[in-house]
Amino acid sequence: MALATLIAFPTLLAAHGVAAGDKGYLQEVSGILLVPFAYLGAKHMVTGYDHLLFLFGVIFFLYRLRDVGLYVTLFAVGHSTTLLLGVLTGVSVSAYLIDAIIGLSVVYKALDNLGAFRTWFGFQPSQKGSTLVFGLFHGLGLATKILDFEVASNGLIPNLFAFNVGVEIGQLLALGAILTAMGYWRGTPGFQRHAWSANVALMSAGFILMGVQLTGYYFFG
Amino acid sequence: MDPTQAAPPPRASSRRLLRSTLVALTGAVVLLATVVLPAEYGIDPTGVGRMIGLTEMGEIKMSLARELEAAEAAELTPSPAPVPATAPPPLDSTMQARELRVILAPNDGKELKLVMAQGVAVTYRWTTDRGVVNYDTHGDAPGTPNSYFGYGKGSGAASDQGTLIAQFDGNHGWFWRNRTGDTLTITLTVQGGYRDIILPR
Repeated sequence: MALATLIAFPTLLAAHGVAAGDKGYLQEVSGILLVPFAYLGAKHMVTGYDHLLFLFGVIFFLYRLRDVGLYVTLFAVGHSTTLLLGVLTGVSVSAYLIDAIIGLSVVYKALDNLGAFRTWFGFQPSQKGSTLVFGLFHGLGLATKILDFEVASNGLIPNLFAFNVGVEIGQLLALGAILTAMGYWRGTPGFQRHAWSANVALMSAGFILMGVQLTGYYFFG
Repeated sequence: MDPTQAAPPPRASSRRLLRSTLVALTGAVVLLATVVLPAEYGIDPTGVGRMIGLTEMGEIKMSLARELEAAEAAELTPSPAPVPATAPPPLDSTMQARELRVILAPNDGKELKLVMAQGVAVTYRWTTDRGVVNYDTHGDAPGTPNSYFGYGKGSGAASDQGTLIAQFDGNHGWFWRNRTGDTLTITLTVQGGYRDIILPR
């Protein structure tokens, strides 16, 4: 993720030794900036494929809107908690390891959707519990990103709440798109057949996320 | 079952599940080794990344990340006053031409700036002794955020010339990057009313 911001304006970065893009902006400002922080929170969620993949897995077999609301709330409670606590306590955990666990959450949810835990171990672990627990890790990931931005301490707490509100807005926007697409897909006769391959592909994507982060941790962590 | 739990997924045998998991894992490992790790980190265990041109992407990203880190570390320590040129340049405006050389190893990027007052003009010309460079002709005012001003940039150039007219009091000059495989030397000739020369660090 950090690398992604680096490729934006390589010459400028090398020539001036300051960050560009969102990080550069955040280092130039201080004080309460609710709308910019809400925007960045929403942007992070909508463009964060790791969060989106997990969310996709969570709602895969949720058919009722009430259930979708409940699970998404659990996920939001989880990541809001660790986002705020993580930034305020200045938690220092390797972003690589956190992102690897986020990759693991995608693998876990894909296996869960394939019924793996019932088939292999004969019992179904609480799906609400796992959504909450993995939500905590996703929030820790968000916290390490904010800490990496080196945000000014002036106005930090209101800004964090604004960022969090933005994350929820971004999540609703992403969810709207995913649910619309899922609605059409579920109506097609081949859905049950495709559901299997889709979750296998989801698991593979989770393994790739894990592989990238663990390799990064091993060489640069 | 708890009514709010997800609807039951399709039933499958343990065998099929295991086979699917292995397919997912194998697919992930193959893509990681041949595409993702080369493109992200320049780590290329199979050689496929180099073949399809992704390893270079990762290597460039890693070298940029290292340079940024070094630059950030340099910013944290108080920066020394601009190093004067090897031979002391004239203090007041001069019309005398000066020739300067910058050596660039593969993947090196270096910057050479002239301290100029607003409106002052300097004519310049630079050439490489072999190969081509990417360049960014620009100015900045030290201590003023976002003061970057670009006069022009290009890639794959063996020479450039023109007149630099300072847009503001500050440091104006050139950033060059050598993306070729060979060490090259840039020879720069400047002439005009600059006050000082800041050589590459």
